[in-house]
Amino acid sequence: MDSADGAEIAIQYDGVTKEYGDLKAVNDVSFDVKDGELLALLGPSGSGKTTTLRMLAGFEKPTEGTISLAGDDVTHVPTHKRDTGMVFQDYALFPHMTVGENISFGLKRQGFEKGEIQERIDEVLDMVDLQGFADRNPRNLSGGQQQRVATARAIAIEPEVMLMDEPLGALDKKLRDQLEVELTELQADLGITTLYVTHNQEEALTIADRIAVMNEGEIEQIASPIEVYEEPATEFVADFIGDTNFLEGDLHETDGRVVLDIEGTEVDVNAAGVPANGGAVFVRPEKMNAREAGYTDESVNTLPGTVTRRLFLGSKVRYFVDIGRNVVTVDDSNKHGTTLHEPGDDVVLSWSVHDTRLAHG
Amino acid sequence: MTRQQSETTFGRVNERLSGVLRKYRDTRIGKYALIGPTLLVVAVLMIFPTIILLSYSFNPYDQGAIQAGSTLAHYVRAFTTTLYQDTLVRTIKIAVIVTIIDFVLGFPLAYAAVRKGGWMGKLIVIATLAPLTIDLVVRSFGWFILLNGTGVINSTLMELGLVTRGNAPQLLFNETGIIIGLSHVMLPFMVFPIINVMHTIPHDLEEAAQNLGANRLTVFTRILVPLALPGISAGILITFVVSLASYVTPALLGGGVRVIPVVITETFTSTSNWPFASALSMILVGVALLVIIAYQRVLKEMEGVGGV
Repeated sequence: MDSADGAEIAIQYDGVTKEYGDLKAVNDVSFDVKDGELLALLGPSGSGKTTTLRMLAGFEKPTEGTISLAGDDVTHVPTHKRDTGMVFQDYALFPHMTVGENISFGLKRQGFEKGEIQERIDEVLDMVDLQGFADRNPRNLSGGQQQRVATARAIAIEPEVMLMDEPLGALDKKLRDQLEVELTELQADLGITTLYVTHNQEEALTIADRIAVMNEGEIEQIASPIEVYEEPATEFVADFIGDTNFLEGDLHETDGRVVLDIEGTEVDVNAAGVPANGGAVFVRPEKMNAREAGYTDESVNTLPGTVTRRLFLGSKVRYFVDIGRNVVTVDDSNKHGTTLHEPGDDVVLSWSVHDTRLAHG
Repeated sequence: MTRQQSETTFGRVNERLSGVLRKYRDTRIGKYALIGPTLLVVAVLMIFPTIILLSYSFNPYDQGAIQAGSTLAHYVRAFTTTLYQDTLVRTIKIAVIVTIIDFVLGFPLAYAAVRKGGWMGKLIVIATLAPLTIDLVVRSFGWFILLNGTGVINSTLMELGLVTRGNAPQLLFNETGIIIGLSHVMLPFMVFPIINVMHTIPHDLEEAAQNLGANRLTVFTRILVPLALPGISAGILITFVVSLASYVTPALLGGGVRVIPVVITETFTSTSNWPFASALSMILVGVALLVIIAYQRVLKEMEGVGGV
């Protein structure tokens, strides 16, 4: 099966719904994952992302819809006959087996010879940088090492797709950052199609080729990290990914321009028209600058306000600015020449019309 | 005193007491004093009677009376008489079969009780426990109603046309009756140790194994059994040893088919040949001890291999 741009489609969800009694955990979800792509399923807890992943592994059966793996409908194929390799959140390493036995478990099921198995164990341990760990007991390894063993065990069987359920969720920030890089490199080297569940938006932005943002069992948007951040399709996505200032005011169209009227100050909005069901105008904090009071520039949007708090964060300065209807967050980068404002100072916020986005409600 | 006051008072007393106990426990005298009562009960009720029986078993028995002196005659008689040989073999055979049946029935029950959880899990636990609240004798009479020649089971089978009155299976007053009854009695002793250990096995280990290509049987043999081994071995040992020594159920459901504990009781009560009955008792104790020791050896070996 081919997608529009010619790349093979490795995973296909078509109208997949999963109901638990009255609860629709996953509601009519459809998407494709291209061969070799890493797609992150991102959403808050209870958004249905893990259920979506578990249905591909075969742990849950969809109530409706079909799931295909490499072009074959696997909706009714039992778990052990599906060619997926899963990395669990708490790793699920077999505690009664050594690291090597954990890795060989899947290889034995595939009927490899003893010699081949030994070679493969060394090979995958090498890939995850755990040479010589084959005889160790997984219980005596650190969290990061256990994570690597879980990854090694999953890739050892050379699955069609890799499934990762919050694989770095149990690790501290520093280790997570390091493993994020290692995992993406490994995934790219092997060219293995990966479905990656996370509730951590930074993680998703860092590692994913594309992100599917899920909310209440539905996919709100599926796009590249940059697009999801810069052009969120819905208010939920704008709010969930990154920090966002929603501007309150009267949204209307005048002379072909979309304008937001905030207490008498007009702000141009980067939109083709006002959607029928309304929408939310928002600006990211780092897109705004806090200028001296009285600053004017006709080419950009400007709005007067008063600094209520200032946080000096090292690489940036964060201001909370009262603009009347609400308080917005403004991140000024800490560069030579940036004026530091004090709480109580009157300022003028400026940002480009391009960065004044409209998200559908 | 209000409820809250009494609760805090109780809490304080409790804390005080456990503090004293903690300190006390760490002294040498304290340690022995704490296990003392238990030791005393075990000594008086278990060890002394066993020693008395052991000494009886070597006393000669002549002209309807216990004689002074020492002889192995009773042991020789027990091991060389076909009747007693057969009874011992039957007793062990029944205990083995009951243990196997209870494992086959009990493991899935324990698994379902833990994995299904919710009301289903509770129902299984209650249904397994409930028979323990009814006296053994009453339960055995329950089985009479179900198992006898024209009982519920056979009349149902006849109704369905599966058997006729002539070839209806004999389910009572034979080994089958004993096995059915004992399997029922012993089931909780198999199920509960396994339930306990099953709680400690994360479900995602099974999922991980399936994901790596393991079918249900492989998940069972390679993941569940090795990890549940402590509970399984406890369940098997208790079921086997208690089945071996059980009296009430075999006596009521076995009819003319006897097991060693029934023979021992009859010998004690209907003859005055206590030395022979004592020898039979010692043989039964010996078999149980042998099995326990051998079993623990095997388990130790397995632990070495599996790394449990």
